[in-house]
Amino acid sequence: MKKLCIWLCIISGLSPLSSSWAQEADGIAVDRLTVETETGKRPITLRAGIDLYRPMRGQVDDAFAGFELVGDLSVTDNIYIAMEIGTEDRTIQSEQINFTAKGSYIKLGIDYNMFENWKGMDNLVYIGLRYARSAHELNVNDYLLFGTEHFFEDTLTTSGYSTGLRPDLNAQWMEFLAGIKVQLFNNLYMGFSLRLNVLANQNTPENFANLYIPGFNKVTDENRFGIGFNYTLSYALPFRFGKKTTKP
Amino acid sequence: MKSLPTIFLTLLASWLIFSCEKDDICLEGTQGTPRLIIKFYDAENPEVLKTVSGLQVRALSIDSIIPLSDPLSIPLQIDQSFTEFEVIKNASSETESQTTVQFNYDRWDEYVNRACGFRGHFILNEQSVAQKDPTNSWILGFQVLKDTISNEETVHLALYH
Repeated sequence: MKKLCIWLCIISGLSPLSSSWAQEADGIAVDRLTVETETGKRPITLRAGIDLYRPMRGQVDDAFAGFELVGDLSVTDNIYIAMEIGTEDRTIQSEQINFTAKGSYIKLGIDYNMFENWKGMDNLVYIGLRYARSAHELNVNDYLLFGTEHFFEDTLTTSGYSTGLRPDLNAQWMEFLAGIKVQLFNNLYMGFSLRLNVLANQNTPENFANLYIPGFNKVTDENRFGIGFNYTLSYALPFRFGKKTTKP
Repeated sequence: MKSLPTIFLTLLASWLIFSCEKDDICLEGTQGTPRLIIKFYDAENPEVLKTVSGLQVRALSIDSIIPLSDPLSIPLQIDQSFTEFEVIKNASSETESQTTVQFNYDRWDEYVNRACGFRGHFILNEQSVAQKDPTNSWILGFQVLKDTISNEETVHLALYH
């Protein structure tokens, strides 16, 4: 219930902003209609936006900071080239170990829209595929040594030994995703996607493991799967390339 | 293309399944930070084991007696590079004899897994065993059998009396 309130606040907070955008965009929308009548084809549309979840989470969670830019480009009516670029900085207490994962990632792939729109509507229910890679570093802040005897008091190791930075790490993975994008106004879209990540390759940090990879999320010891999520607000720019491809 | 909604639903379902996090449990029997394993030998006949009657080992920093086991397993402190023990023979009897022994070591920590975290290894350094008053001690000598303490399966130190 509390979460719902937060979402409502966010959406209502954005609506005055978005309606002003929509007005600005009216001219472009008209252009698009004319383009459609001229060629019978939709213009190439570049949609760019941001993820709202990560900055919001950064506000309420001191141990998290993150930002993600999203974009897609229509190739045909239902196929889009899609991309996400983001950064994350997150501190996690994982069992006995406290560590910070910091880094950036890029995800590139395609989305396929399965939703049949009525004329004039442009909503998406899509599935997609991404190739993703990260460049990150891990820092072990402190840990409790694993011991079966607790004769002496357990002492936190906060410096030296196995604490410290593991720089220059990277990972590659695939993402299978499903999501929706809803057209709020002329060119403004709100959407979310759920992602199933499959880790393909990683370089293992010295005397530690990639317990968390920015962009991928938590990595478990048992399997190579991870899950992801984003909640986006994006703006579409319909445009045509300078060259006219259609003959008169 | 009819199968697309199925793909969509499958993705959704698997997302839900993988979003349920399993608890990380460090499996029992995983070797943790090891203790120092000691055996007592006869000083006159160094090949022969010789039990210590009425043995008592007290950790001086917390003034507490360690539980006896065979072989003697001594926990080492991880917040400093030495641990002091008072080793008593014939405890609570007229012939009680005591000596203070200090073990000196370095430590390095090895990553095990997500659930268990790091475990320690000790390396006995040059002054591995130091006695406060060796001339009046009932422990007449020692020999380091294995200076790297990584598990509790081998004996690391022999004490002669």
